[in-house]
Amino acid sequence: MPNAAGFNDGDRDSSELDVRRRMPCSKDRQNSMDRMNVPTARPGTRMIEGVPMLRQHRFGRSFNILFLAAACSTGFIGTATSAEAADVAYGQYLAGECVTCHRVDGENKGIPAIVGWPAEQFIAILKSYKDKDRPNVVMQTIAGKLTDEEMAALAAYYASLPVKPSLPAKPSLPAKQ
Amino acid sequence: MNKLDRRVFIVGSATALGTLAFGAPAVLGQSKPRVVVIGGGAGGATAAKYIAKDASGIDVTLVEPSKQFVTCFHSNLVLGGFKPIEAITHAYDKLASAYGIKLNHQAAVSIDRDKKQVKLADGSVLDYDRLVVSPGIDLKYDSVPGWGEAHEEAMPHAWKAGKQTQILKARLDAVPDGGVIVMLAPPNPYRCPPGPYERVSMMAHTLKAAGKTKSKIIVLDPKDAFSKQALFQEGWDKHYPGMVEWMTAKIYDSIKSVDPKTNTVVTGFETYKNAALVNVIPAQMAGKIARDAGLANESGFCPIDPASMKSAKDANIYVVGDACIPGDMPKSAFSANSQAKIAAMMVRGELVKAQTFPARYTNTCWSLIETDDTVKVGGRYEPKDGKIAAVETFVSKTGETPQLRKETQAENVGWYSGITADMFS
Ligand SMILES: Cc1cc2nc3c(=O)[nH]c(=O)nc-3n(C[C@H](O)[C@H](O)[C@H](O)COP(=O)(O)OP(=O)(O)OC[C@H]3O[C@@H](n4cnc5c(N)ncnc54)[C@H](O)[C@@H]3O)c2cc1C
Repeated sequence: MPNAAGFNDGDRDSSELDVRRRMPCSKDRQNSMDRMNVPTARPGTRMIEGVPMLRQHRFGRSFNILFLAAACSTGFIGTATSAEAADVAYGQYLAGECVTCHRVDGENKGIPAIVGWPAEQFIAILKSYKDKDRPNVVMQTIAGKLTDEEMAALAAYYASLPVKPSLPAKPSLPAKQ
Repeated sequence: MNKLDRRVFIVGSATALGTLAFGAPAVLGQSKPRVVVIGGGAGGATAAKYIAKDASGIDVTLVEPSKQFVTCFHSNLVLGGFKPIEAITHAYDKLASAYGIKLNHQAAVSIDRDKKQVKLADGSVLDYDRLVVSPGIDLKYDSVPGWGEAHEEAMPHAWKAGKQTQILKARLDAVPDGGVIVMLAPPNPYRCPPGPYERVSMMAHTLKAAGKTKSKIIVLDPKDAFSKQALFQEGWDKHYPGMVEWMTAKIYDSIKSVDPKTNTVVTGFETYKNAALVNVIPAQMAGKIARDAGLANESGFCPIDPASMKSAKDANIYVVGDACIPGDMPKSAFSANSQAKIAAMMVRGELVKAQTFPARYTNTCWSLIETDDTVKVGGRYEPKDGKIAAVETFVSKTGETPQLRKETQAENVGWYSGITADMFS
C-alpha cells in the first residue's frame, strides 16, 4: 500500500541493495561498493510536518542506490565520489531557483526551511506539489516542471547541506489544506 | 510508486547523471581570470557572489558607487509604514569577507570593449576577461513635459530607492484629509510591473490608517491594462472604497504638462491644481553605462542570448537585470537574481571550465494590497525562439480567502529575507 507520500513503505521482501548487487554491471559495482564502504543510515533524519516519516534506514538505502546507479552508468566505478558530486552539483545548480526564497542557511523567516531534509521526503513533497496535492501555486509551478532526475538531484543536494544545530529540530511546512 | 517504478526512476536518474560533464576547474593562462561586475544591485551583487563562490579561482571586482544598497523591492512597504527604511538597507561587507570579492565603491564611467577595460570615476582602469553589467534603469527625464531631474524633490519618482523613498514617504504622511495625490504611471517597459499599483495600495493604506479617507489617489496610466489588475482593483474596492481612481489615456487623453512649482498636472481631459502630492514615474531605459557602451538597441535596453545572458553585442560581456531585454520575464529583483545565477554559471564555465547546465529562470512578484492581504504573480521561463520565454505562469485569484492572502504575505516576507541573504550574505 502506498503511504500518504506515495511511496510503498515496508512491503519489501528483500533488501533492494541485494537486488542491485545482482543486476548487470553489478560485478564492478559490488567491488566498488565494498571499496566505498558507504554507510547505510544517514544521521539526523527528521520528521517533516504533514508528511509521514519513513523508516530511517530506508533513506540510507535509497540514497546509496542512487549513488551506485550513478556510479555505474557514468563509468566512474571506483571514483563514486565524482558521481555523487555530479548529482549534488546538478542539484546545487537547480537549487539556484530555491534559494531565492528558501534561505540556504536553513532559517525560516516566512518561507519553510528545506535544508537537510532527507532525500526521500524531499522528493515526496515535491511530487505532492507536482500532483497539485499541496496548494501553493509557486511550488506547483516549480515542481510541475521538475523531472524525477531533477528532483533526485535537488534532494541529494539539500540532504547534503549541514543543518545548524541552533535551529529547531522540526522543519515546518504549511499543512495540506 | 511500486518497486519497479522506483527502479526505473533510479536508473533514469543515473542515465541523466551520466550525461553530465565532469569539468575539473582549470585556470586558463597564468594568472587568475578577472571578472568585473558593474552595479551592486539585485543582478550585480548576485552575479558577483555566484562567480566568486566556492573559491572559484576567479578574481571578482564589484564596482558600485554606493556603500550600502537600499532595495526598491519592499520600498513600497516602507511607504505604507510596514517597514523602516533600515530594514531595506544592506551592506556589502560580507561579499568581501566571505567571498573575497573586491569592492570598488565608485561609478564606472566607460567601457572600452576592444581593450576589455572599465574606466572608473577616479580615472583608474580595471581589466577584465569577462564583464557583467547590471546598472539597472535610468529614468527618462524628458518623457514628462515640464518635469525633469531638477524636480525630483518637488515631484518625487521614488523609482530608485533611498533618499527618494524618504521624500515620498514624508510627502505622503503630510497629505491632508481630502488632499489629492496624482500618480503618473510609467509606460512599458519599466522595472517592476506591479510596483506602481502596490504603491497606490500602500498610499491608500497610509491615508486610511491616518483617518484621511476623504483623500483621493488619481492614477494616470498610459497603459490600457496593468499587472494583477483585477486583484488590485478588487482590493482597492474592498479596502479603500472611493479613494482610488485609475484612468487610462483613453480617458485622460495625454499628459499635456506638469508644473512642479504649483503641483499641477494638466491632461487633455482635466487639470489637477494644487495636488497634495504628485508622484511621477517616468519612462525608463537601461543604465547609461550600458547604453554608452553600445550594449543597448533602439529600445534603450540590451539584447541578450537567452541561453546564457551574454550580450548579443559582445561575447565578453553579460547583461542581467533591468538593463537587459528579458523576453517574457518582468523586470524584477527576482528575475535579476535568477538571470545573474545563469550568467555566473556561464562565466565560470568559460573561465575556469566549471560545469554548466541548460539555463532556466524563475520569477515571483508579491504585492501587498492591505495588511495581510497579499497577491502574487510568477512563472518559469526557458530560452526559446531567441528569447526568454514563459513555460508556465500563475497569478493569485480574485476572491481568495483571507487566510490564503495572509499566508501569501508570510511568503512575501520570507522571500525578501531569502533574496537579500542570497545577494548579500
Ligand atoms: C517601488 C518598487 C518596488 C519593487 N518591488 C519589487 C518586488 O516586490 N519584487 C521584485 O522582484 N522586484 C521589485 N522591484 C524591482 C527591482 O527593484 C529591480 O527589478 C531590481 O532592483 C533590478 O536589479 P538590477 O541589478 O537590474 O538593478 P538595481 O538593483 O537597481 O542595481 C543597479 C545598481 O547599479 C549601480 N550602478 C548604476 N550605474 C553604475 C555605474 N555606472 N557604475 C557602477 N555602478 C552603477 C547602481 O548604483 C545600483 O546599485 C521593485 C522596484 C520598485 C521601483
